[in-house]
Amino acid sequence: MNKIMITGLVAVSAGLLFLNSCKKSSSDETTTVSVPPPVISNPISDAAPLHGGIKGTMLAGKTYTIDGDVVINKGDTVLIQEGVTVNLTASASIAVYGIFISVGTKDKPNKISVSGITKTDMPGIDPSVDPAFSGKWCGINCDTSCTLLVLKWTHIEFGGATFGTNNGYLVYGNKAGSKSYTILFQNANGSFVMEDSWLYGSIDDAVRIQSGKIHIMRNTFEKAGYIGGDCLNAKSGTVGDMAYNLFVGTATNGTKASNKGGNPIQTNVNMFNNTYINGGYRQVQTGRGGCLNYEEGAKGTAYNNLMVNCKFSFRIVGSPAADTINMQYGNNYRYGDSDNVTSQFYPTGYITIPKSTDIPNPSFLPTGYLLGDVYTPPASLRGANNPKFVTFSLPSTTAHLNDINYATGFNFHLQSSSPAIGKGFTGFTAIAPIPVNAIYGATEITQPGIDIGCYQSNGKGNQH
Amino acid sequence: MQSNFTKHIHYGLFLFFFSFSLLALASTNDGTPNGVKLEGKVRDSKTKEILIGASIYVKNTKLNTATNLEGEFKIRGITPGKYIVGCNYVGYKNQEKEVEIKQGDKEVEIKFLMESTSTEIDEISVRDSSINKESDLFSRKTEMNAPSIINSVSAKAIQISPDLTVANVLQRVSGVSIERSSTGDGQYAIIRGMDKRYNYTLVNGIKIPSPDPKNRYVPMDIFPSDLLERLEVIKALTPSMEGDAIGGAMNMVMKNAPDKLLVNANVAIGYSQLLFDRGYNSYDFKSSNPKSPIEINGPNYKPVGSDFPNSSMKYTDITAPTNSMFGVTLGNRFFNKKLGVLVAGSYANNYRATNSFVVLPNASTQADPAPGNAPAMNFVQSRNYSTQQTRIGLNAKIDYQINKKNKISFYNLLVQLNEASVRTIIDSDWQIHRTGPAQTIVTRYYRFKQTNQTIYNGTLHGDHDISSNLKVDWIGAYSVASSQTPDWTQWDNQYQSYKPDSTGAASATINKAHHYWMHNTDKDLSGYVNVTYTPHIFKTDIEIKVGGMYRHKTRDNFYDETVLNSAVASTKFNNNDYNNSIDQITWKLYSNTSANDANNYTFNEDISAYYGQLKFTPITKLQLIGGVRVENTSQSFETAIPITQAGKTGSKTYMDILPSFHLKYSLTKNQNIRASYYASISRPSYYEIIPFTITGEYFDESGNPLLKHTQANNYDIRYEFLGKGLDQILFGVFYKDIINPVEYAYFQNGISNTILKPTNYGNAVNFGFEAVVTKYIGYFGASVNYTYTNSSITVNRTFVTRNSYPSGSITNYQVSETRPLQGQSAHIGNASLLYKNSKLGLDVQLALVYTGSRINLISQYAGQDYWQRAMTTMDFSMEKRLYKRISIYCKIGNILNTPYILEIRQHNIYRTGISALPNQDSDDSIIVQKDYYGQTYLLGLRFKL
Repeated sequence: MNKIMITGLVAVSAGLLFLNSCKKSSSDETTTVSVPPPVISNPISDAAPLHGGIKGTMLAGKTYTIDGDVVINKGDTVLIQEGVTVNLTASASIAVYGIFISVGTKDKPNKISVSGITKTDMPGIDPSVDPAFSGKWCGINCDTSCTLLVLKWTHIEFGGATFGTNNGYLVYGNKAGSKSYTILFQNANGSFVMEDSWLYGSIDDAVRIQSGKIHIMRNTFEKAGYIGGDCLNAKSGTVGDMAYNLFVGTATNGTKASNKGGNPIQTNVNMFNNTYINGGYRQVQTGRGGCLNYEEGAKGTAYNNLMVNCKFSFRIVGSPAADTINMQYGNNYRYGDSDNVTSQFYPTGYITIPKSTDIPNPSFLPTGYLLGDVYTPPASLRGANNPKFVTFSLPSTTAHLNDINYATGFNFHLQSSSPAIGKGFTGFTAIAPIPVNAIYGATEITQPGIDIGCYQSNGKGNQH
Repeated sequence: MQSNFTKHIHYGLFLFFFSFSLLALASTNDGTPNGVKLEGKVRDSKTKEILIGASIYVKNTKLNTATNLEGEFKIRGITPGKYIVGCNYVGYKNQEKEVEIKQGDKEVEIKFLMESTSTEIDEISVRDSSINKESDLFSRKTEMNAPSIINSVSAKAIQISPDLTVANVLQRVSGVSIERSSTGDGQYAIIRGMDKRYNYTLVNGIKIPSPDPKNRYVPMDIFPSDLLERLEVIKALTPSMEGDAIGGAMNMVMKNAPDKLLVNANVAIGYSQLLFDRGYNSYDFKSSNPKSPIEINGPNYKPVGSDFPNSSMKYTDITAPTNSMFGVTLGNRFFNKKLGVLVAGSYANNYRATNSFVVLPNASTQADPAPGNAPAMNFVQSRNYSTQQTRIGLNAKIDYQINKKNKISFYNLLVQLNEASVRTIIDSDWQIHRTGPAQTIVTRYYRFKQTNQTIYNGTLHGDHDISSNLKVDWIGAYSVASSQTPDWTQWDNQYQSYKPDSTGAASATINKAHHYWMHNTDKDLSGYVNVTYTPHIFKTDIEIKVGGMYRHKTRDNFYDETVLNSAVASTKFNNNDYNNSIDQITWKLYSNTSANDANNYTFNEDISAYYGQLKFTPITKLQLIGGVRVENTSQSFETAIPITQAGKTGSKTYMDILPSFHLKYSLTKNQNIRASYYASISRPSYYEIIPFTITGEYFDESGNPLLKHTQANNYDIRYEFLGKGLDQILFGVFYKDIINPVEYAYFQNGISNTILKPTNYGNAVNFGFEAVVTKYIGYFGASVNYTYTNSSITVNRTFVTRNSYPSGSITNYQVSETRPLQGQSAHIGNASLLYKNSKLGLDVQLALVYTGSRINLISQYAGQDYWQRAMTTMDFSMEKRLYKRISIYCKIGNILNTPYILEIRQHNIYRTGISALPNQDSDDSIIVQKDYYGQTYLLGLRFKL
């Protein structure tokens, strides 16, 4: 995929340079400075399966097994070096009261998963038999005392099991008998960094942020949520960015922000340059959303998102209302292959304001349209504005629009002829609540990009 | 609303006057106007109390009558001559008198002083003779003679009242209001504004456990009212009583063995009006599996969809099923009256209906418009409840007089309430341009629930006279309360009304189905010993009483919740037949609670208490009772959560020293002034001190092991007047100083969610006054009581606002807000009008209950509590003797079909435009719930030997 991408990029880079030169006198500087390797303390042995309290460093290239709940106590840190595989068994959970850091690299990513499961990435597979929705372990659960969770270049797969009799260590909010989130973070003063990582499969929300400073950029999320659940679900006290992420086949929303939960810090999330493919279909409840969503007092800035064949497009909820007075959005790109999709470009019953910068231009709406009205989309809207992915057939060739809920085998980079290129808005910045640091912070805060979606023709954005 | 209310009042008054004019007609036909009038009065020879309803007859004539409420009788149209006039009255010896009526007489007066038959039985039996204990008069006397402040309702009053359960009887008592269950019937008592948690329930003076899965308080609708000899509400505790009531104690004195053969039976049928109007949803609750798949197959079993058959997840419609009731009481005394036996059974099978309109506010609130905390609405629901209640009560008492000095009794009570209910909800998403019921995004919820609650109490009681002034009595009691909820299940489906498919029908999808199994048992083993020494010192009678009690309580709870999802990700329905569409669904396990859920817990409690109490009469008119009680509480719990979690086990111990002092001064023979002080406590509910946490979307709920028990100092003054007959005036004031009351409040949980937990909130004060007036004139009587209560407590609330308007950040902070205690109405009152004609054997009663507005639910947010709007309910009952031993009775409940309304007292921004809510009637409050229960009708026959 990367090679294809590079080839594509080479082809368009000259043109882009020209385009950019209209605004800037030269290209962005690229600087590389070496970072001292972290001092390894307390190397963790891979000789025996882990359970109970752990702290220290999982050493590069090793494979560890966690066969029962592990606990990172308050004040302790677990740091996973590059190229490490962690296999969980017995529905174990990782309970984090201290600090948890996984720093894989592009060449040597880490993997936190279960062994012995083959992904079934085939069109139209019945979700009830897809192992992505079988929940094999109970996730990374950060207590309210966890101050830092960092996941870089890390594959996280097959989470979402039910907390059961094996789970002795439950952080605040975990409950026996309930489904786990694959990642739970809940400290408004803590920091959660997820960069360049992959998350595959979950039952309920893949990532639940009860509160926290967040930096979630350039990740790929596939098959989040079984019959409900959002991919990135942020509650009150969450501040930060969700940008340059690719979501394929999410049960409900890809990115959701709400101020629900009573934290005095208002949820403020910028969602920009994300790509959402085939979202919202597994949610059994009606009218729930399929890509990005603001509700209940949340605010933020949302531009340059690409929504393809999602059951519901960008949704802003009117009761209890999102903090619409403090919301800025536009330049969002919608594509639909059926009237069911195009009739929900502005979802019925909600208060998303059609913007003239949106693609398609909302002039197709009937005169007298009030926010949330039912409207009949013109047939011409079906298949209009094909974003022209490098490898992904549009109009859809599968039996149902939700048949593809995985990224493997596709390339969601834009072809150079894509109408999404150059249509973005860059007149705002990321919130960036977490400082840059190769290990303990954000590696790169990618500012808004001129191309719609998560892949930029200048090579920025999502690196997968 | 105002006009509606007035209409109801008009309707009520009309009904009232209509029935009374009929009665007036009936009562004027009192013999011929010519001839001589024979009149007189009947009294008890010893006590000089008037006797109501005594039969008066003139021998060898057809002339007869009965005494009225003032003990008086009149027989008109007697021609001159010599007559034998007789009087008989249950429990008294028959008396006949010769009367000569001369020519020219206009009136002849005759008085009967009746001798009680019970004086023939030896001294000790007199103490326990039950002959008149079921009468109104006995209840009035009990109130006057009691050592402390009580209100009492007699079996006779209950019998002729419209009420069938003890909970409903309670609402007639001064100072008491009730909390209703979803059927509209009373369930819990709030005494003088003190919530149910501050009151306890006694059967014959023995505290009984609760079948509630989490709490101590006993649902009072489980007790059929026809097993009672009388109901007492005790509002001031003496040292010999258990000390954990701040509002008061409810004592059900059950029927006692009679002095001679007693046979009573009654049978009745009835209907609920709403079930004529909309039918009854019946489901096959008997097919529910009594045990969960995990209970059957062991804790490691992983349930599968086929473990949960669909047969108990749908209903069929029946039109107006018939309610039925049956009761029998048999009693006699054997072996020279030494052995008394009483057995009473009661069975009732009722079908009840409730139609409810509900607006579900979003649990979040909005910062706009300024200044913030504006309630946000989510869903509009129309809910129908169909509930079958089967109530069984068994009461058996044996007492045996071993000899003159020793007596033993064995008492057994079993009450059972089985409820099976279907709740259907049509829910429409309000925020989506709702145009009417079942519009927009529509969710249909179906809930099928049965709960079987049982309380058993067995009490062995001995009385021993050691010497002439030393008595010992003891009690050994075993009680068990249990509740079973087998397979409570609910499921729902959903469709978009604005997105019909090609056939025009909306296609719905299935969300999840839930199945719950719950059961709990609460067992008490208790022993009591009291020693009473009554010396005569300094020419006064002194009573010294010391005693102790010990109770060992064990409680266990089982909880199993399974969540299923449709095996096919989306299911389509045809024909809009959503109920039967369940047959199309096969289920797949989504999740189930594991055995280590904190809802599975055991709780032990040991109470040991001892007291000393002194009663003496320094001067004739003054009675003093004072003393002190010491209660030791020792509690421990263990939950099923793993040992690695905080709060798996815990314990608590504390001791309370509870002094009390009661003074009674008799102004005259029938007037008392009382003053009392008592200290009391209230123990938190079992589950409240277990440190569980349940995460919710809007807030988390948690227990609080640091919760302290509540302590209170209670002060009372009461004036009592017992007039002639049943006339009565009671007037009292009370003041309660409450330390560490338990209130549910919201906290910022560190840096994450808001958390709801029971908490002690400093001090609260509760004061008020009560007035009871009962007056009879001839056959008519009126009884009115009124209670004013004022309480206040200051708690933290969330306020959602912006840093600055119009566009500052949304934030929230805690404000402290002062409000009344939950459930406390400033004004409550009762008014009943009675007609009592013993000659015709006719009793008629029209009873009104007024419950002033009060807080029903506490909100997380300032100013958003749910208030129950003030309501007046009216019930009617009537009983008429048909033949000597047979009477017919009828009861009409909820004549006005009074709605039960909950509202948020905030400016109503939802009256116009696309966001208008239905059923709103005010700009100053938002109605969030409006329930109708409809009228109930009952017609029965009573047989009495």
